[in-house]
Amino acid sequence: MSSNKRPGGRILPVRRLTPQVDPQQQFEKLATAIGEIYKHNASQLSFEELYRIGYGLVLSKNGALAYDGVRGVLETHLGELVHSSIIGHAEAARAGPSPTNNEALLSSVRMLWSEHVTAMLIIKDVLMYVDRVYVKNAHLPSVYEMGMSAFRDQVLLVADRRLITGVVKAVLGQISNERRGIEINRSVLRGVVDMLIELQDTEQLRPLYETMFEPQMLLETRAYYHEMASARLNDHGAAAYTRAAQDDIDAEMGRVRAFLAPSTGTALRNVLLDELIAKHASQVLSIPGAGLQQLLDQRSGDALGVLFGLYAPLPAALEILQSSVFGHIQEQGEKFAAALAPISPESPQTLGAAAKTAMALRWVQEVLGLYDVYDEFLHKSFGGSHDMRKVVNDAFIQLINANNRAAELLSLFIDDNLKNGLKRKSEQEIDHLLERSVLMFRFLQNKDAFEHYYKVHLAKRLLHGRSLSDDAEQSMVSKLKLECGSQFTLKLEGMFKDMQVSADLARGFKDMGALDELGFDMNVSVLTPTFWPALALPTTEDAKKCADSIRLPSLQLRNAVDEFNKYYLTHHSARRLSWQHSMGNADIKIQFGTRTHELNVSTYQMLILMLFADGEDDASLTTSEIQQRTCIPEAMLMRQLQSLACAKYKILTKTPMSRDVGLNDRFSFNDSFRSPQYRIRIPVVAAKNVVESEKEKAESMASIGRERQYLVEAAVVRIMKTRKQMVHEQLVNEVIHQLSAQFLPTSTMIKDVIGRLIDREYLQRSPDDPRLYNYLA
Amino acid sequence: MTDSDTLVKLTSGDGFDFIISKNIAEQSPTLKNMLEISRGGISNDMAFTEALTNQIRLPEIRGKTLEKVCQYLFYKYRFADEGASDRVPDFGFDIEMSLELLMAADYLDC
Repeated sequence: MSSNKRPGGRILPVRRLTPQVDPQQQFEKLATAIGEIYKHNASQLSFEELYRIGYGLVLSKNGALAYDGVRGVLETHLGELVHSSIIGHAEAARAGPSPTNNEALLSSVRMLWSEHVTAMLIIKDVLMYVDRVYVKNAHLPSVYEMGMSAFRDQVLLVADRRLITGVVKAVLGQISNERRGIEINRSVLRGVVDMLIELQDTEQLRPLYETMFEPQMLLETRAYYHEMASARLNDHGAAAYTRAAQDDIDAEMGRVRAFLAPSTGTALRNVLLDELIAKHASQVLSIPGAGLQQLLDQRSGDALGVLFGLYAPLPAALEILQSSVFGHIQEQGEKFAAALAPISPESPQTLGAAAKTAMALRWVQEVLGLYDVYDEFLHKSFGGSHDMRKVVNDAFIQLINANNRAAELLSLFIDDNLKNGLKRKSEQEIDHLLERSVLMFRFLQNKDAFEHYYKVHLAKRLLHGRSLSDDAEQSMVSKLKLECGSQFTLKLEGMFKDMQVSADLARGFKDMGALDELGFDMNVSVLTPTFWPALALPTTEDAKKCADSIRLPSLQLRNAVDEFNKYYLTHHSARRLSWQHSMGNADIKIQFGTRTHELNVSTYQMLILMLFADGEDDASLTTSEIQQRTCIPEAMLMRQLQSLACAKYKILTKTPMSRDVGLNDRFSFNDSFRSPQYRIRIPVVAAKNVVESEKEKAESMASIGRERQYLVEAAVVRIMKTRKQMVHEQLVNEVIHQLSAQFLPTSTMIKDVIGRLIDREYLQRSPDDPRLYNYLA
Repeated sequence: MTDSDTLVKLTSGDGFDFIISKNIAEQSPTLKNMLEISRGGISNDMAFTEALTNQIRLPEIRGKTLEKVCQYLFYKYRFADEGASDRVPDFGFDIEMSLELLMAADYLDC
């Protein structure tokens, strides 16, 4: 406010309009009014009048009279009420702590408390001038706080804390009743607990809730669950035990939310976890016949989820959990491996290739199935825990690599699915399957071995047109590429590229009209030797010589080959084509009596059959005659003849009629061959991908071994070229590190390679230190 | 009925009546408490005669002073949100009233 008139003007003195009254008399009025306020009669009183009394008392320096006087009034009043409405209930509850008596005591306390709070809210407003001026200057607790402590001292702490002890006991009694399934009035408890939270204890300046109630409550809870745990251990399995523990925790947390202080939640949970979980962790997890092992066996995802939630936070229990999971996976792995025993070289059983293959496929399927199970556990039961995933992955790495044929089996599994499996599966299923295969591949340490097999299998799929879906093939390769980089899939992609280029070439060749005069169709696959596995392309000199010298019996065939040679060389002049008839196949029509059949046969089989085409009906040839005329290598010829004469479809008749083919056996065309099908596929021996025999396996391993030598050599040279000088151990570790994406080289292998490189003067042992190598440029 | 629709009657010690909106009167914490219907979230039996009748007798304050008080309550209501900005005009009064106004301000806590 600012003055805008006559500076220096006079100020009128204040004249009190109301008559001065004796302070004691004034206070009496206030005391009476407080009694009325307790009786809910505020509406009969004038706020202004009471406010003015407080105002007047403070102004006349009688603030203490107002403040202490009100406290005295409150204390007397509360003292009376305690006697009239509470003590009786307290005595009853002490004598017989029944739910009814407890509740009666708590209700009466809560009632008095809420009446008092209501009255104090009014009284503090009426005495706001006292609060604002007197209390502030005298540094006293506000009127409201004073009212609260009056309640504490006159009601709860009266008679050496007898009442509050009774109240706490009654609250605990009610909680224990609720635990035993007796329904209680939670809102009464809520009111009483709120009171204990609001009121401070005298000395410690902490709520009574913390000093008088909470410690007692935690103590009782501990005792209760201590007993509960030992009782349950006698007759519960791990699943039931953890479920019950979880229910208990949920119930206790519900109690905290309903009527306890939120801060109690953590302490209470810890007590429960300690008594129910931590103290009996190993005991519960290994309950005979109903422990963790059984839950894993039964794939009880939900029970595992509960169990994991409870036990994982405890380091000791988590360790048990992890080692159990690891052990369980290993155990399953051993079972799967045991089922594979019949295909191991030591097995006395001799099984057909098909049966062995089926077994191999089942192994992969079972491993993947187990991974699916654990993957679900990880997501649904183990809350996506990274630690658990690592344990599971480690277990699978061990499981898979414990099988030294894992690389071959996995490739075979993918082969089988890309050939046969896709028909019955949706695109999503295929994707999942390939995804899983890649996952297993990731766990594989001998990735180069996998590449070896995958190439062989892919080559056969491509050359025999057995792959069902190009998209699935490509998708698989790009998944592998993602996993191992483009270096890894370079050759695989090269194979696809060859197939594509060949298709283009074939189209161009056909468009040229070269085939028109020949009277038959011809498809040539032009392969780049470096991309394709050795198995598809015989590289030994013998095979090559023979491949070139194969006699194509018909002029037409020779013309076709020549035409294609010419056509190809006009497009790619500096290249050389080498024909691999052993890999080819043909569709030919043959008339048997009156019926005509279309036969799908290998090129060699076609050559053999053509020997009979022009001859008389009863012409017969011996094995060696056929060999002379066709120049097919002997071993190969035997197999071709076998499949023509001794297998399901007997296109040729052999004398004598035995299963094995001898050099002097005679063959003739079986004119009386009958079959209900028009089109017949003569199974091509060894064209199907099956589990390798021991001999083949040894060959594969040798080929992989050679490949590895090169890789190690290249790695050593690469490393030494940059480092110039290195200590043996360091070099070995670096090589292992660099190659670990493909396979795990042994240190002996690296040592051998280093020795050879020293011989070839790429490296040199340092003259000063025999452990040190120098790089020689 | 909102507080701005409700009118309250302030009666001075020398018998003058001032009728103003309730929300204007509530600019004084003291008057606000007198007119309060509910306290601490409780609304049963919390109201005094003043709140029930919307009439307040202020025997300590003279009519002349109360008039100025009412003007000030309006002034406070109008400019409370402006803060210290330049748009708030001065509130003027006769200097001879200053002591009485001071007492009233202390009594009404505004």
